[in-house]
Amino acid sequence: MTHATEAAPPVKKGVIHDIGYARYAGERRAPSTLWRVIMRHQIAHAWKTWWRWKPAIIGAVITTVVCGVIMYVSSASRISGLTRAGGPLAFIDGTLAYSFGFYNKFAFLMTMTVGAAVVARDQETGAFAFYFSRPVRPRDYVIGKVAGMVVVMGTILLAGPLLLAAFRIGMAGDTKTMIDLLPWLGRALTVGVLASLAYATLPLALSALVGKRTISLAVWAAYYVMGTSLLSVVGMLTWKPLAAIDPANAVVSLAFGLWDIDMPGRDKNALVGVAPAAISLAAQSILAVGLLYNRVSRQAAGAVGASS
Amino acid sequence: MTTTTLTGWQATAALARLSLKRAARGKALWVTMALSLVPTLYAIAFRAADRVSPDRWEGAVMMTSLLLTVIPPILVASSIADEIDDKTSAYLWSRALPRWSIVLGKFLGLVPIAIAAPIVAVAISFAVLGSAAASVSDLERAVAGLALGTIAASAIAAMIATVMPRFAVAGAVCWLLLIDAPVGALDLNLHVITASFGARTVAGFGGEASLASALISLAVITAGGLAIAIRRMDRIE
Repeated sequence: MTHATEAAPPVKKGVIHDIGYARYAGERRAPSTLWRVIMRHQIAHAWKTWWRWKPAIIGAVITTVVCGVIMYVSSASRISGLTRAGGPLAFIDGTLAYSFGFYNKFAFLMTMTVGAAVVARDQETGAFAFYFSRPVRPRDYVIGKVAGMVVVMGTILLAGPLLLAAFRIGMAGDTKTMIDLLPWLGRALTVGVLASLAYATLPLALSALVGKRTISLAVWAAYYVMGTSLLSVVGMLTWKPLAAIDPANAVVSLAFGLWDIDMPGRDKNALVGVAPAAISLAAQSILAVGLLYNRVSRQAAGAVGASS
Repeated sequence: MTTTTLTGWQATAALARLSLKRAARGKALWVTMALSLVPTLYAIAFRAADRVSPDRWEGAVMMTSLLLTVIPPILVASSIADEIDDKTSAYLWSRALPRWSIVLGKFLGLVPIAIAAPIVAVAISFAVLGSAAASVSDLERAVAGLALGTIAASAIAAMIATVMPRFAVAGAVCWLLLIDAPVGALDLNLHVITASFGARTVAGFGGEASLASALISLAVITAGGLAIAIRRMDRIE
């Protein structure tokens, strides 16, 4: 038995689907807002996969919860090895400043999974040619990348400490104590913002300088681990504020200094004062942004369409 | 027409030579050499300040041991991960090579460079600090510790490269720096699972830990890391 097959529609031969010139119908943005697109892309890129932002976020959340529990459970217990104004220091007052040492570790993790590879990846993949063939200026790229990384770092170095500061204020027994503790929010904000800036900009600058992902990650890790330790040693031998070039040391020193906490004993030499720590973090961030802008501008000059 | 097929060990040797040649022509070798000079600044700083003592020798060796957290990831992890991530391993698999020869070939080709870096650094530190800080036998122990530690750290880097090829360098550095080094410094039996503990103990700075336990620990870490790397490589599509 045979079935009649349906006739297939005739195929048009030699038809060219030329849509010709089509006017761009999408949203038109002012050049001054382009950095926001780059920032959003940077944040979205960091959020992708389980190996970039999420491990650091999980670590920071665990640190915040553990520190909060310690503040609540052991509020009256004394921290051995730490003093405040020469007297004993209770966990409730010392945990927040001490926690920056842990947040630093997760911030470093973020620099390794995202920060130190960002610009080098764009250089390796030739993304600059596409960025700068559009009306994106080097400053838009730099502001966008830096802002994106500061937001990402802020979730680690700022959000947790602010929550702990708020928790400490909430644990105050009376209104007067609560008001007295309000400066804690400002201190946490100061340390968190400066730390976020430094941890966001330094790896970005290094990434732009090196231009190859693998090497950039290794150089940043070597600088963070060995370079800063050496600077601390040189600082100890010659001029102590030199040790503030180490971002981790500067962040902890700033936190300890702002909360007037002292560490009598073996690690005391490593800590620097509030002013050198704050100046170091701010100056390194500014220098890093300058270096990043310089490198990106050079790339832009050599990108597609740069000569027109 | 007759064709010759390489045996597993011949393939391993060929891949080792290839990895060595690639490394010698790339940026990574120069970066490794530059990084190996960084820890020597520690010894130079103390020599310049005329504060040389046996404690400084320990400091110099510990500073040099930080190279173990950076150099194996740059050399070993990046080489294996690039092969997987860029899908160039498919070309190797299209030939009659056993997959384990890729891991072992790269490992054997690159580990000598990784070992050379800390050894050069610690030898320079020894020369700078002089006999007031350490004896020749101290130097020998430090060299042995750093060499064996580098082998174990390279095996860990190879394992991480096959587990997470896209984040191989970052993952290996973070593992060696944020997990291996702090756990190795703990005064708990748990420290035997780390390469840093073995390296430090063989180098003579392990406190009361026995040399035998350190050597066994390093051997197990190396064998385990390579076994996992080879198994992962076997399973990659």
